Parts: sequence; structure tokens; C-alpha cells
Amino acid sequence: MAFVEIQNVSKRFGATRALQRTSLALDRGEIHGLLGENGAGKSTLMKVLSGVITPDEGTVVIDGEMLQHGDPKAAREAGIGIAFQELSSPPNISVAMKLCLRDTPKNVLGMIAQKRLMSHARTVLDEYHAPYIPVDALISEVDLATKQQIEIIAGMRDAKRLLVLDEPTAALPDTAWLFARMRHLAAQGTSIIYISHKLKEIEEICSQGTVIRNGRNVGNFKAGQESEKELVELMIGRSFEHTYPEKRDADVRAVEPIVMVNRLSAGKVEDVSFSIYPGEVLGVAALEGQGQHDLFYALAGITPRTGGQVQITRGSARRDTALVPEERKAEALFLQLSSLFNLTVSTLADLSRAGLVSKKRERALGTARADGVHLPHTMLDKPVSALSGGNQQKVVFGRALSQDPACLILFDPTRGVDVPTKVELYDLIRSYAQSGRAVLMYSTEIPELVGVCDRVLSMHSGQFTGEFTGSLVSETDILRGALNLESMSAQRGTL
Amino acid sequence: MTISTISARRRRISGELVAAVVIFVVIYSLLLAVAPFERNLYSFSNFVVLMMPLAVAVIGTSTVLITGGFDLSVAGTLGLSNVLATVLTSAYPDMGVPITIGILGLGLVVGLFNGVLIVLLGLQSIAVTLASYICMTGVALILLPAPGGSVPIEFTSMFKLSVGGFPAALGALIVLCLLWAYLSRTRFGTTLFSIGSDRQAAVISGMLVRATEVGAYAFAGVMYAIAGLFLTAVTASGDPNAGFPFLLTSFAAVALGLVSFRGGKGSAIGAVFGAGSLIALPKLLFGLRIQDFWSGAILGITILLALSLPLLSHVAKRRRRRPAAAAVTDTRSRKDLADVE
Repeated sequence: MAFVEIQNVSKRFGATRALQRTSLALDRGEIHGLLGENGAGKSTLMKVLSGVITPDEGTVVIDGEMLQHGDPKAAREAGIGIAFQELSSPPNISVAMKLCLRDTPKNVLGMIAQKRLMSHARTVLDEYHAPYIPVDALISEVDLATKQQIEIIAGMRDAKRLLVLDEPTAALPDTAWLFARMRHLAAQGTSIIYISHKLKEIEEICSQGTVIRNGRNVGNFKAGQESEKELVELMIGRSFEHTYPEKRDADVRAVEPIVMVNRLSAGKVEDVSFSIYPGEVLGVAALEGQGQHDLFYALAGITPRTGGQVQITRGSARRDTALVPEERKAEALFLQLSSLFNLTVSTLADLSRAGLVSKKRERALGTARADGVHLPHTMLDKPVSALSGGNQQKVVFGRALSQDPACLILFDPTRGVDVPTKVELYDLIRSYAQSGRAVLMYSTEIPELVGVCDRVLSMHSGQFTGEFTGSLVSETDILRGALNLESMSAQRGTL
Repeated sequence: MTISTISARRRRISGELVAAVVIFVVIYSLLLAVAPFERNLYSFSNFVVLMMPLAVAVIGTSTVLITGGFDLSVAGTLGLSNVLATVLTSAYPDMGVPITIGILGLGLVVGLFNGVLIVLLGLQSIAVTLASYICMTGVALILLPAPGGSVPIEFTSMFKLSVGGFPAALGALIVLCLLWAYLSRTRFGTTLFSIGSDRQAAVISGMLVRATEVGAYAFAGVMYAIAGLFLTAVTASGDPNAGFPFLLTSFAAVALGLVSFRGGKGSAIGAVFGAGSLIALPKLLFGLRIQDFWSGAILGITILLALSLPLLSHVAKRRRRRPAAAAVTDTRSRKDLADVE
């Protein structure tokens, strides 16, 4: 039996099968890559390992001991350490506190001994070769990369037997430090699950790996034996070339723009200017929390503007903007109500006469809209909570498109959506732009921006750091822009 | 990085606490200025005794608010404590100390009960504590159907002692504030604030979230019981509805103490000063000969002003940044300038 044995773990959320008999086996000290798209089930697996959620079936055995599910304390005591991608530190505690949560020094009265806590944290940081991190700053005061580093160190301190790292390099540009620490830990006998979709990193650090898709194992690989293309095709379940629709080739800038943003400030956004032209899909690339949320929500009229102007030429469109928000369950859908209701609720004026909503018109209009987004008619009368993530997102899209906006605003529109639906959504996005409207889109997946957008702006600390058009739209350049690498290397000279 | 590090090191006392103290000092100084009869130790002593029930109660209320919860049981526990103290001390006049301890135990049990229902069963805090408030008021009505009863002087004087003219109650209040300051510096306190600011993150970080939440309600329950005892000392009688006014004033005092209703921020000591402001304000209006029915409107406006203080400091900060930014239009030099700042 392997050192870490994850066997047939399944978990359902409503109609969504997040994990379907997923299995994974690791030897002692092995670094194992876990590949999968957004929504493939990676984070659910991690939450099972950390004891945050209880799986419907399956077992986890570490060093011969069965893990008790659904108990974070049991997971820690079993020697499992986790560094989450969605950073898991309360923002109002100090860096030292986060690092030493399990061994906080106390004085005789039981109060936290601040001085000893700080010096203890400094020893910890020295031990992990990161002495430049300020121990007495609050979590909310350090930058994203540092936060991620702290998260990783805290996870490593818990990881006596198993460490799980979830996309650690999404916010951490410096892999040298991370990989050195990982190798050190592995040499001491801790097994590591390394979740990423950066294939180069997996090649570099992992001895072997597993690909999961829609919650199932779809393949195993040994480092260096499979080509990048084969792995990507395993991940997305189809050939890479046919994923994205054709982009438009004409230069869009000959005409008047639909959206003109002049020196806009809102929330974290400071003084940004840009335009979106008819027929154009404009992408924004940024790491988490760089102001993209405020920018998109300000254009949709939700985040208050604190400066600048936004001018939208509506033309034949009925509204200025429509937003597909970040969290469809929390922000977009009436979960207990039917798909039909959710599809038609934004345009009640169209289906009511003298203020009364006509059920007949509601059904006619809703059916037409379902067709527009390829939603099966059988879904119309179900509560939207019973739909899969992909179908839910189609409902959200259908409603946004039915408002006929001059500019469609999409905030991470394919989050938690299965691959076939993603492809349908890409086609919808492209055809909406082709009808002469503007589309603004943010995605956490840079390859998706490269595939879908005519032009991409990279954003860092509330400002644009680069613009990439046509053939210049490439993954690595955009990532450099999103990380603001030019100034980064100067700032973090100690690394 | 360096600037924020330094500020983190110096941040021992929060801006909210300073603001709450300033609001109190302004109101109380104005009171002393317009009302000569308040300028003596006897009046000060009276003032402290008068504010004690509210001041102690808000220590509990704000502890729960900091976890992001709501606790309406303040009115019920306070009222029941008042009625029990009255009924029991009339019956057993020389059992003052055991009765006091018993009532504190009652507060603890009620708080634990609230906490367990809210945390372990996942019920909503407002609903649970509203129910326990109504329930306790009912029990109080059974014990003492109408306001009245007489509390022996030995009992009331236990809470109204004075040492060299200074009220012992003030000492008790300081001790409670120190207790809170102590708790907030323990692991319990750190967890309390973390839960209020991001509960999920606190869970994932492996903090003892549920035990801490139950602890917060239990601590609050004991504070309400103490508040009820001080109320009994002030009124020297029992009233089954005695808690009712505290339902709103405790939250008003917390607002004046700039404790965040969203959780994760604030200080119970600030709330104690908020209670002081709330007691001093009607006296000030009386001193200014403003008619009584104006006091509600003025109190409301004062609370709104207090709540908008953080907003004002935010605007002031932006004002300070603006001129520098406007002077330079070129984006690159603007960025450099921001770095220098």
C-alpha cells in the first residue's frame, strides 16, 4: 500500500458531481502533479483532504491510518498541510500569528506573548528561507505574492506527512524559492500533491502525475513521457484547436468606439482609460484582487465611481451594459425559482400588459431565450438550483443577452463550467460581438483570454500594465503584465 | 512595505477607540461647562453608578458583535437578573453574596444556551436571542407580575460603595475593561476578531471557531447578569420589563463606541465610553434647557455623526492625496510620486 492512498472519493453538490470515484496514490516523499481545468474537482478534493467537507463515499489512508472525514482538526493531526489558492488567512491578524497558529507563545496569564511570537515567527521564516517577510504586519497589509508565501509556509509547517499546494504560482512569480522548499520537505519524507495547470512547472518539479476531468481520473503520466499537447487534450477532453471560435480579422479601430472610459477611478481602480470598439472582445488579465472586480462592477453601475467618465454609445441596443457576475449563485440567480423565471425576470416589461405578467408570453419568450443559449427545454420548469453549473451559466448568459446591452460585461464567465459548455459560451460571446456590440471579459484563465479575445489589457494594482493585440496576444507576455514583472524585479530584489 | 510595517507595530490602540473616547470627552466636558451642579465628586459618582448597567451590558453586546453575531438577549437576561435579585433578596436578605453568584451563573447558562443553539445547530443569532429574550421576560413576569418589591439596603449598598468619595463601581468597570483588554490579547481574542472578519478563513486556518463563538455568547450572558445586578442597585426594586429599554440603548451605545456591526472591528472599551456618552447626552440637553422630547432626535443625529466618522477620515485622506496627483499629469511621474508618498 502506498504512503498516501486516496480511494474512490465521490462528492455531489446538488446536480453537480464534483468528484466521481477519484483515486490517487503517493509514495513517501513523492511530488505528485494534479492537472485539471477549473471545475474539474481539484479544489473539492483538497477540501476533502483538509476536512472542510465530508465526501459522500471513499477513504483517505495516510501511512496506514484512516483519515476521519469532515474534521479539520483530525486532518491536521494526521499531518496534512494545505496551502489554499483562495487565501485563507483572516485579514486582521498579524503575519506572525498566521504562521504560529498552532504554537502561539503565551505568557503565564495566557496572553499572547507578542515579543516571543515575533521572534518565534522570525525563526520560522529563517528556517523557510524567507527572512524578508515582515512578521508584525497585518495579513491585509502585505502584497499578494507575500500572502501566498505565508500561506505556503503555514501549510508546510502542518505538513508532517502530506502537503497539498493549490496553484501556488498563480500569485507567486518566484518558483525557485517554492521548488527548493518543496524538495527540502519531500526529502524529509513528506509527500506533496502539486495542483497546477502550468505544464512546465509540473514537468520540472513532479515525478509523476494524474489528470482529472469532471471529477474523474482520466489519465496518469510520468514526467517527460507525455507531450504538452497530449496532456492538455486529456485535461480538456478534446482537441485543443477546435476549442475557440475564429477571431475577427478586420482592424476594429477604424470606427467610433462603443465604450469610452476616461480616467476612471472606482474602488481599487485608479485613473484608467480605454475604449471598446464594435465587434470587439476586449479581455482583462489580472491576478486576484488587482482591481478588475471594481473596474467591471463600476462599468455595470454597481461599484460607485470616484472619478472620471464613462461614455457608452448605445446605438440600437436597449441598455448600456449587462453583467454576467463573478458568483452566479450569489449574485445572479434566484436559486429556488425556475429557469424560466430566471431567464425572463430582467425584461418583465416585455411580458406584461397593464402591469400584469402574462404567463403565456413568459413561456414563449423564455423558450426562445433557452434556444438562443442551447438550454434544453426540459430545464425550463426546474428550479435553477437543480441545474448543473454549465446549464446555470447558460441561464445567466441568456438573461444578460436578452437585455440587449451595447456592452456585455463578463466577469470570469466560465468559472466552474464543464468544457463542452465552455465552448458553447465562447461561440455565444463571439457571435454577440459579431452583431456589432462590444464585449468586455475577465478570466482567471489566461489561455482562455488568449483564445477568445481580440485584444487583452493586463492589470496590476488598479492600473493597466500592458496591451496585447492580434498576434501579440500570448500567454507568457500577458502573465508578465499581470504580474507587473518589470517593477516587480526591482521591488523584490531580495528574492 | 516599510511604512505599513511601522504602522502595524504602533497600532496598539485602534482609531475607533480613540474616536469613542473623544466623543465622550466632548459631551461630558460640555455637560460640565453648562451644568455647574455636575462639577463635583458626588455628581460624578452618581453618573458612574447610573451608567453602570448599560456600560457593563455593552461589553457583552460588543463582544458578540465582533464575532459578526447579534445578541438581543441582553434585555431578557438583564431583566430576569433584576427580578431575581429583587425577589430573592427580599426573601433572604442576608444571602446577598450567594444570590449574586447564582445570578451570574444564570447569565452564564443563558449565554451558553444561546451559543450552543446558534453555533452547533447553525440557527440565526438574531432569532435565537430574540426568542430567549421573550422567554426570559415571560419568566420574569411569572416571578414578579408587576414592578415593585423592595431590595434590602445591604444589597444595594454592596454595589454602591464609595471609597474616599470615588465610587467602587468605577473600579468594577475598570476591572471589567481590563478583563476585556486581557481577553482580546489572548488566543480567544484573536480568534474572536478573525471570525468576525472572515469566518471561513478562520475555520480553514484551524482556529477554534465554534468554541470561541459559544464563549462569546457565554461571556456576554455573564455581563448582562452583572448589568442587571447594578440596575437593581440603582432602582432598588424589580421590574419584569426592566430590560426592554436596553434592547435599543445597548446597540446605540455600541454604535457611539464605533464597534462595527459587521464584525471583526471595534473595542468593547469603546462601547463603554459610548454608554457614557449616551447617559451624558440627555443630561447635557437638560443643562442646555432643551426640551426633553428633542433628546431622541438629537441622540439619533449624534449616532449618525459618530457612524460617519470613519467616512470623514477616509475623505480627508483622499483630499490629502488629490492635490499631489493633480499637479502632475504624466502618468509615469505620477506613479513615481505615489511611490515616494
